[in-house]
Amino acid sequence: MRILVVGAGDIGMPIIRQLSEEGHILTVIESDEEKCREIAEHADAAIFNGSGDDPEIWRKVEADKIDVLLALTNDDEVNLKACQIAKREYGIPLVVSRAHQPENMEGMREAGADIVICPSEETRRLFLNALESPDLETVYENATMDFKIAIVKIPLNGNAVGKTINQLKIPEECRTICLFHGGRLDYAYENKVLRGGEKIVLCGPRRLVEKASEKLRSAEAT
Amino acid sequence: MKRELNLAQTTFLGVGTAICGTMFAIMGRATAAAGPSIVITFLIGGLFALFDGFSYAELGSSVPSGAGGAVSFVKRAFGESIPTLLAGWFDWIGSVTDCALGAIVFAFSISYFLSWVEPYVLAIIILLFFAVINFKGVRTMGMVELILTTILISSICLFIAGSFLSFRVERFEPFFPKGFLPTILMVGYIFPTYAGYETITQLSEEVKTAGKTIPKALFLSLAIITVFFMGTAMATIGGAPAEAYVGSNTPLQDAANYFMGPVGVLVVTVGSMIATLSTINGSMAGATRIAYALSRDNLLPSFFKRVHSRYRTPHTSLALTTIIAIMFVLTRSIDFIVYVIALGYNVTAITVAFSLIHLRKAEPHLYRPFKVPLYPWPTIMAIFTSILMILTLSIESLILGTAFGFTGVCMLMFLRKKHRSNE
Repeated sequence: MRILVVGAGDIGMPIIRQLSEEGHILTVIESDEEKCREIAEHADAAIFNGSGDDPEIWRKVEADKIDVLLALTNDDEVNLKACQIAKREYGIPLVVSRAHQPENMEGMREAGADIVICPSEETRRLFLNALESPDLETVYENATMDFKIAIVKIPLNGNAVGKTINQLKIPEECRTICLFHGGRLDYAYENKVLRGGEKIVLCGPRRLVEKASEKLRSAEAT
Repeated sequence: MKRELNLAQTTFLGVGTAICGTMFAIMGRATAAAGPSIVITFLIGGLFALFDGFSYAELGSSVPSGAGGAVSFVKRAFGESIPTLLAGWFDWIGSVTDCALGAIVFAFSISYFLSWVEPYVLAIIILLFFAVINFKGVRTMGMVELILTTILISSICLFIAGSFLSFRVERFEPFFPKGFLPTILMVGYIFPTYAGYETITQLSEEVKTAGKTIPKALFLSLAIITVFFMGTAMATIGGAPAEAYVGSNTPLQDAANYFMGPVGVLVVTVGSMIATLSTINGSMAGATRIAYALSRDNLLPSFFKRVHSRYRTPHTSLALTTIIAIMFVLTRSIDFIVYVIALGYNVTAITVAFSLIHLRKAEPHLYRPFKVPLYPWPTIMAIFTSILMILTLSIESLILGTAFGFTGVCMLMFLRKKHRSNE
């Protein structure tokens, strides 16, 4: 792919090196000349020494041929401007931006970013997920799509024991994928009565999955 | 294309590519004109090549998609216009004639042993053979090239070493038998021996950290081939009497025969065959690529951007290249061909130098891992020495060059008008 990276700092540099290793055609815009030298030393890229919000430089990078923009500087204003130029002036298909402050995420999306990643937000979520009980395992979570896959374990004395999935009235958008018990996946869960210790694999919008898992894990008398 | 080449491999490949058939063809004639001082001529040639090398190093390490060679640099600077056409066309004609000369040298090496073989006919057959190979899109594997280059370099070293068997310092006197002037004037003639080392920049997509490696490889290989050329000249002059090789079409074989007998001839023949075979193949492929690219940029009629449906090779460009190469062989004039190579290379080098100057002003933000030292002097010298060398070429080649350039510009204007009326 033809990838344009703006910013070769703590996040940008290792990404540039890896993308170069993987054989992508890279263009980099970086304002620090010393970092430009470092890029040339360790990666293969067309390097432009300047700022990612400068339309003059954008004119030189053959942006109309680029597939992906990665705006990775530690300056949210530069990243936002880069997203804007990328989407509005050059129609770059995929624009990914880094947001230092969570408050700037929405602005970047409006400016044209398809995906905004805020490192501090992501780290926060990862730590909180680590606190989840062993009864609930988040297998996959995608913030942009609002999609989560989770594995929920039904407690031995759970309220869900003895009922079928349909009887539990889980919202429709939260899909049950399969059951897991006795070391085997069971896709024919429709009318099966749930047993204690059994695991259910759910997927759907995050909040619905979380609500469904709470219901499945509840063990108090209703 | 995976980046696999490191500095040593790139340098090695550069040396292998640069040592083409030209050295084997011209040593006799060059020495006839300037005597032993031709060694100095080669040194001057190396220096002039260095000036051009600075341009290629800076542009090759910074211009994106610079793997297209000179044309891609000029296109970046001047877009699809006359300078780009000139760069492309003269780069093309330089490659075509390089190819033709390679075929001739190869043919002469064979006819040295098989005297019944008519060398110019054999040269045409060889060109057709490689045209078919290129048509089918056969590519030599990297390993084969490395082995061949090793053999080539070994045979040159053996030649130089062998000359010591009958080396006589007296043969270097008088050093300037016809004065200083021929020493300088012959630089243009021997210069095609250097032409080709700058094609290292076309490897930039296969070289690791090309921005750093390509300039280093460029200068290293230039230094190495300068030493080789000077060494070969010295070996020839010191190892054999002038009568043995002056005026011959196979001077190095004759000289080797004198100081090493048939073994020497074999060594030189093997070396020259390897050198020329890779040149014929490489410059035929290179010239085809240039014509194809020019056609895609509407600087040549669109007929030349046709690609064969099965083999996926640009067969019309290949056919044009082969036909013109054959026509040059038919002139049976090694000197003329050498002059056209020099013309092609020097005109291209001038456009590349101007592109560098223009890009310094137009794209100050483009990061240049290598920058021409003491700018602008080496670049100015590059332009100056290229013009100087062009002026020393024969009248016939200058006339051809002017006609050629003029035809190209006219054709471009015609294509432009046609393009505009189609819109």
